[in-house]
Amino acid sequence: MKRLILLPACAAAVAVPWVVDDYTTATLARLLVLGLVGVSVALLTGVTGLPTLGQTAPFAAGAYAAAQLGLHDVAVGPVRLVAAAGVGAAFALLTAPLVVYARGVFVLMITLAIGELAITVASRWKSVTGGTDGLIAAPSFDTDRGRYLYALLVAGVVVALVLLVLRSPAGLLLRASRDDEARMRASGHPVTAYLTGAYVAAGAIAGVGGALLVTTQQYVSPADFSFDTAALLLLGVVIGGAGSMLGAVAGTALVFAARDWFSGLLPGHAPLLLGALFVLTAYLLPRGVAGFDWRRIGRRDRAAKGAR
Amino acid sequence: MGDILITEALTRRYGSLVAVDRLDLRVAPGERRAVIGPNGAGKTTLLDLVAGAIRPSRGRIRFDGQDISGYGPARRARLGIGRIHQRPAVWPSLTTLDNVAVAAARRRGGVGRSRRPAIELLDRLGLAEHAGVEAARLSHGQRRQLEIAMALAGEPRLLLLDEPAAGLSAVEFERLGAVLRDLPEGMTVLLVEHRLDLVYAFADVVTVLRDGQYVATGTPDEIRVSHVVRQAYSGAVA
Repeated sequence: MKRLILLPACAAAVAVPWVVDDYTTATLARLLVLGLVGVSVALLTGVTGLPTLGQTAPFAAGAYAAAQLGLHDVAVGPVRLVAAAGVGAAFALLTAPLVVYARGVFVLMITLAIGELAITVASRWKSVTGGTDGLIAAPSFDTDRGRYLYALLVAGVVVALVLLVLRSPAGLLLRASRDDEARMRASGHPVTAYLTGAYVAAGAIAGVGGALLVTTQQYVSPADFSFDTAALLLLGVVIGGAGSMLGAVAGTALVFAARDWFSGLLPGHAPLLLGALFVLTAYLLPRGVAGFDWRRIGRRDRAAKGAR
Repeated sequence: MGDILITEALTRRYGSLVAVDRLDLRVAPGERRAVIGPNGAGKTTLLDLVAGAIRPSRGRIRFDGQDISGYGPARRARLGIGRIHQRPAVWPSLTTLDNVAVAAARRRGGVGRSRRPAIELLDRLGLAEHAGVEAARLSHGQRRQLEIAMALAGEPRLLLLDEPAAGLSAVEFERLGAVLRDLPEGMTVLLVEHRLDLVYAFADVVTVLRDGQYVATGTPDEIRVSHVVRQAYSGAVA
């Protein structure tokens, strides 16, 4: 079922810039970037069991690293991506001791603080970040279509890599650590090391997202990494189904698109509508859209027919 | 000398409650030791202390000559201490087979290498037909069997069993008895169990605790007829 949807969805994603206008293409590229950061949030929140509001920090670190490289005439995409991933991962490694020993709501509070600190640093450290004025990055593609396709390719490769890793034994170890940590330790597993690994990997993914952000919008400022962004990322991941990477991309993209459209339609009421969406999701789809068992509807139909 | 597990004045307090009180135990390699006593005797606390799930308030634990009092549970597991919990602890989102494979991974050098021996273990515990099923869908008794398989998968030198018979059906109880009988000779076992038929059939040596304190140690025959032990139990009831 999932595979049947996936192929046409990929084809449509590639074809879409030839169908819609440039503005929509640019918007979709931005949603892809946020979707990729959503994957890093889902990896921590859903798979590892560390619910996070702080992935905007490695996202920002990656973005400023890529923008600085751009300013220093490093135009090669992969170099910027690798550098941004490295900076995101290094940032995560530095902050890991604060995060991996905490659990549940404490992780939320600590990562929230990390995200807020990152914005403060981004606003104050003018020589590197341009402060609240932000940085304008040299364009690496001439057209919106090119930028979109580049973002699609990179996001696609990263998501595929994440899915591969999650299907490998490493994915099993992470899920087992989330399920029952004490049992993992009783089996000799160094759980803290696993969580650190996942947190650093998520930092690298968010860093790549930062490099893509610079490519797609050619501008970066602290406003891109606000608390709103962090909260909407988490909301999108919950709506998409925290354990599903593709669900995270879709959920995050949906939430940011909804915010932008709602704020146009009903100025000032977008947060209210998103809040309502969140409550509905929590009640109706506790495992998110991707976690919903669609076969259940079929079963219920058959059961109803059988009863008659 | 040469005892594999030694506790020296092992003490654990919870506020004013002393759950385990200056306990000196010596368990020989390969010994099947049962620990019995009325509720609140400190049996589970003792296992938690040996496994490293909680730290002692005072006293020491030596395993194979090494002072492990300061080690965390993962390090103790890697040294060869395996356990099952009073409430079966499994990984519900993993399949039954993956549960055993992940449990064996540290010992076998990877999850992949652990799958084949994991299948054999599931077979022995009567779980082979559930190998591909998520552990969340198993019954209580099946989860109990699964956690035993997970503990055995680590090939521990010291196995801590916390009420393995609790909540088992008659068939599962029979199978548990067979599994315990078939444990490798060299494996030392510390068994906490309320079902005395299992204790007397399985154990070489039985230790009785009450209110965290040592009461007696002896062979099953000695313990069965000991008036000190009867007093410990009846005192708890009265």
